[in-house]
Amino acid sequence: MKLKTAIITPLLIIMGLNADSITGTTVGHYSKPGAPINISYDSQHVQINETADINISLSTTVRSGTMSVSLSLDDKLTLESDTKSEITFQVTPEQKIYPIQLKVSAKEDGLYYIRLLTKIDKGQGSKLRAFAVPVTIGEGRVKKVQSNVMMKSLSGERISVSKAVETIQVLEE
Amino acid sequence: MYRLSILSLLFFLFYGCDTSSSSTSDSNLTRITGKIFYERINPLHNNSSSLLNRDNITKEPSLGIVVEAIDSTGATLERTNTNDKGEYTFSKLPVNTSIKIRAYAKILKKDQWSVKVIDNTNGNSIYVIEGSLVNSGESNSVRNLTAVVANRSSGPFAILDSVYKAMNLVYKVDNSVKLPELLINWSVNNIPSNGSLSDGQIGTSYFDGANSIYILGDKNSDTDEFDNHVVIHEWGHFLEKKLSRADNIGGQHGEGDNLDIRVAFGEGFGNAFSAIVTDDPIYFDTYGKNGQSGWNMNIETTEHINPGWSSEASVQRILYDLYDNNDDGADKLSLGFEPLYQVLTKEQKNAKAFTSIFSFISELKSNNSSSRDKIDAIVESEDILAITDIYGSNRNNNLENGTLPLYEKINLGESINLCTTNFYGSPNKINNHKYVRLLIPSDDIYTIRVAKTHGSIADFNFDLFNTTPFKLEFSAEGQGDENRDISLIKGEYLLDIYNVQYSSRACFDVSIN
Repeated sequence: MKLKTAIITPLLIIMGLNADSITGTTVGHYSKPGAPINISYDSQHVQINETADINISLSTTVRSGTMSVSLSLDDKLTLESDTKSEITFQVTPEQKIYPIQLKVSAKEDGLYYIRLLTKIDKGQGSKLRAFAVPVTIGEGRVKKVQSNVMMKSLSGERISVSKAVETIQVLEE
Repeated sequence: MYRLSILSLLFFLFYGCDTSSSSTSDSNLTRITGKIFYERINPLHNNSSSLLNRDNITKEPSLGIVVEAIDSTGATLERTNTNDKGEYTFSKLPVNTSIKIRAYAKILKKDQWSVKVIDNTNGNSIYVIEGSLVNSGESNSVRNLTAVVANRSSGPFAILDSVYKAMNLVYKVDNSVKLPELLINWSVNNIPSNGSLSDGQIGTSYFDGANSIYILGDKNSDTDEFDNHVVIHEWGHFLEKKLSRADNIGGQHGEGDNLDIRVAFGEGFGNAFSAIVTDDPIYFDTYGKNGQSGWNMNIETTEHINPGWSSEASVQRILYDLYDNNDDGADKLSLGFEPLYQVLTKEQKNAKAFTSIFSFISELKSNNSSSRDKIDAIVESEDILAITDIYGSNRNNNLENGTLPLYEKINLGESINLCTTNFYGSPNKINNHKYVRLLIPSDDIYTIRVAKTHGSIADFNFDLFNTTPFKLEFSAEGQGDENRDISLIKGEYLLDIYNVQYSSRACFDVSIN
């Protein structure tokens, strides 16, 4: 409990000093089967070209084995700290929180993501779970990928249209 | 003669030459037939790892989906569903008309079910694929459409096909089944981050407990559209909720966890159901950029890690063994799906205890008395003593002190002291919640009191359930001790008491007066 307090307290202080930040957690949420890992994070909201502090805490109910984390950033995010992209923790019953801290910046306004692919290996096979930590730069305008055309059918139903690969054969007489 | 000539001319003008050939239009109508396909990326398994194998993309028929013939104004000329081979037929389309074929990511069986795959990040629009506007001519024609991987249009149809197979399994054992409308939300923007659903921040693939399933689609972190066991697992929760009863409280879960018995059953059922529908016991989930990482578990043969009644893996193995026709180890039974479905939709739905392996197996044994010994054998192979009632009585587990009995009993005027812990984790593990059975002798107002006796930061809440019919009667969610006057009718009730702080060992007195 003391270790958890020692780690959480600075995070809470950071959250208090930076009212502009995104916090999030998966604790208590319904989820598909996978590695028994939860994430909590505090992601500082900054302006263009400013450096954002990102504090991530991973927790698990597993008591032994290894937890590996692969980090990747959206293309337009720049890593401003020496955080490695591949991190491994030895899981112990005493350690409740596995922290990852990094700093990022971006030259353009937008909502970006730091993606984590986590894996728990207990020596009898491994399981994975993916997370994405949002980073808001500037106004944080969401740039969604739109691969389809959205329109309304004549009946008024909204449809998202993709072209099919089509073959046509006219039946000869 | 003149009159005959005029009549002949009129005849030919109106009726033309009827050659009775299958390829020639009848009058001013023509036929367009064809097949709707989608591309599926199949997995590659290597021991306990899996990935999406882009060298193994197959073209699969889209079964039971809505297809329309549309003219250049966007008007629907004809509508139909594909059959169980993915084929459609439009037999009364106008000749020499620009027509395109549109296939919806939607399956519809009137008065029985409706499922749509929609883009939650684009106005909840339903996914469709279309062919080109092509003149129908005067001859019959065949137009086949394929939703492809290249533009990610196949994702919604892959999801729908997984669900169709699950629904078809249910339909085979219950052809009068009626399910409410289901919306499956999928988008290439659906990412494992919690936040705004319309921005794709869905957190994970999940069923929301109401009428929506959300499926991940971000290709740089996690996509689930081709992970058919994941999709069917989530649909299994929908089935449980709508046709059975799911007391599952949700939350994080994994093999080896000591789960709340409601969670263990709900999650184990979802896993087993996905293997039953696909007839493939290898549950897999791909991850990472373009699905190049992932894991799998064999529902049937995976190593027994921490088996028991609180293990979702034990539940899935038991359920799958009860179903399958592969006799292995202690499994000498092949019940098929129907007996399991019967218990789910009847006895489990009305069980007076929380839904768990205990409520399920005790009723299965009642319904299949000639197989009782074989059912016991399968259950005992998971370190679970023969199940004799819905409350899990007569357990003998080497678990944390205070775990047993699973259900305490309290009489009017009595007070008992119980403790919750987070020894196995939280918030959905063993001993995070304590269950208490109450018998209310007559209609009256009763005071239920839950008062903390140990645990400085603990804060206890409770949910009270009437068991006949089973429903949530009251929730006490205040801060501090709970002291509630509740009007109750005669009957049996269940209390679910929990510490919202999920701190280590915290104790309380519970009484009813």
